[in-house]
Amino acid sequence: MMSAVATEPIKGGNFYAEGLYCETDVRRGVTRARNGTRLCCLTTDFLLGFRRAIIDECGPAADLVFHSCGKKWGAFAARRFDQDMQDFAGKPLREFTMAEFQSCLADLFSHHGWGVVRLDLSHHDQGLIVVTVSDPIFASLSGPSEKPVDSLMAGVLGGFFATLFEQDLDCVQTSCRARGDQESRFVIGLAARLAGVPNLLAAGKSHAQIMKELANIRL
Amino acid sequence: MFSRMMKLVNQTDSLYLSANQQKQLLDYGASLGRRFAAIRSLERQENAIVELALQAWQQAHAELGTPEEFGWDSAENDLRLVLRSLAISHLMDDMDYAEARVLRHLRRTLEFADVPADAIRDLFACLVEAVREKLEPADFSQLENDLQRSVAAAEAGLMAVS
Repeated sequence: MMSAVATEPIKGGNFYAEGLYCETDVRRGVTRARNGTRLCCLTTDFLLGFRRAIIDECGPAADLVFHSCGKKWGAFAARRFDQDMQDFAGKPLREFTMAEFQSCLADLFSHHGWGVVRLDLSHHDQGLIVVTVSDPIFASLSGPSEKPVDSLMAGVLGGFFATLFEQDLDCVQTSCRARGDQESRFVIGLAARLAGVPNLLAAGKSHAQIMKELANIRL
Repeated sequence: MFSRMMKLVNQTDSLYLSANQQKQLLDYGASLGRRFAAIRSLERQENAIVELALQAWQQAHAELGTPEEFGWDSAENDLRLVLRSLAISHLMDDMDYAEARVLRHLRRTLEFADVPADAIRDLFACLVEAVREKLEPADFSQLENDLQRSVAAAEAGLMAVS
């Protein structure tokens, strides 16, 4: 049943649309998103410097620090995303279909330069979500590596989904372009279920092997 | 996103407009009346176009079930938004607007709902055909290129997948 008339505004579409999402007041040197959040761009030079400084200062704990930073940031981002989507689409995020949710999530990440995010829900029955990220930031900057390098992104995804789903979720990166894998993939699940993944990665297990191991874990 | 006028301004690169650039601008200005007329016609037929396009698409892809069944609850609204965004794009002679505002987002939503790439392309083709059926030929002709570009954008997605 057609109900809207052409004089009524329509909710929906891309909240982050180019030209609509952010605006820079050059006189003040301030860029703000349409929701009022202040934004700034970080260059390759800054990100490389930031990454190297954390690795130099924290040594073996660097990945943990990146992950922790990402997790806190992801939690903030999830609350902002929830509110923005509700304001923009006129319905709470929990009422979005999974396809709508994924599309908005992809818009969020791609418009902020974090790559294109795709969810694989085929392991949902095991309590796991696989996230593929095309062109994630640190994999594109760090050069070849023997282990996954996007622990910041893993933290962001973990904090984001833990906050949205209000569960003790975490995220680990299981494959990485910098390690020579075809795609950068992340697995989201209960923190207790994922606890053994760093050891599996250290043992050189592939994403597929890790998923198989995770499927056998009973909590 | 650069509208036609901003593109022209940037092309001047500190110079006054060239004769060719002045002509482009004047031609565009002269076309505004026709553009507005076609858009007004689109606005009047919005309900009928959306209804017809959705019906035709569902008939062509009955295997998908209804949009609600495969997770596209906002089908009707999204198609309205597509039409309105295409109208603004046509007015500004700037397809980037519609692409950024809704087209890419909608293609992604359908892809995430596991709608096959050829069905996504067909959706935009059905929309074009519905506009053709509901508008006067002159109005449709005015809009046709920009409408077909939305199909081509979906087609490009199809090519990227295959």
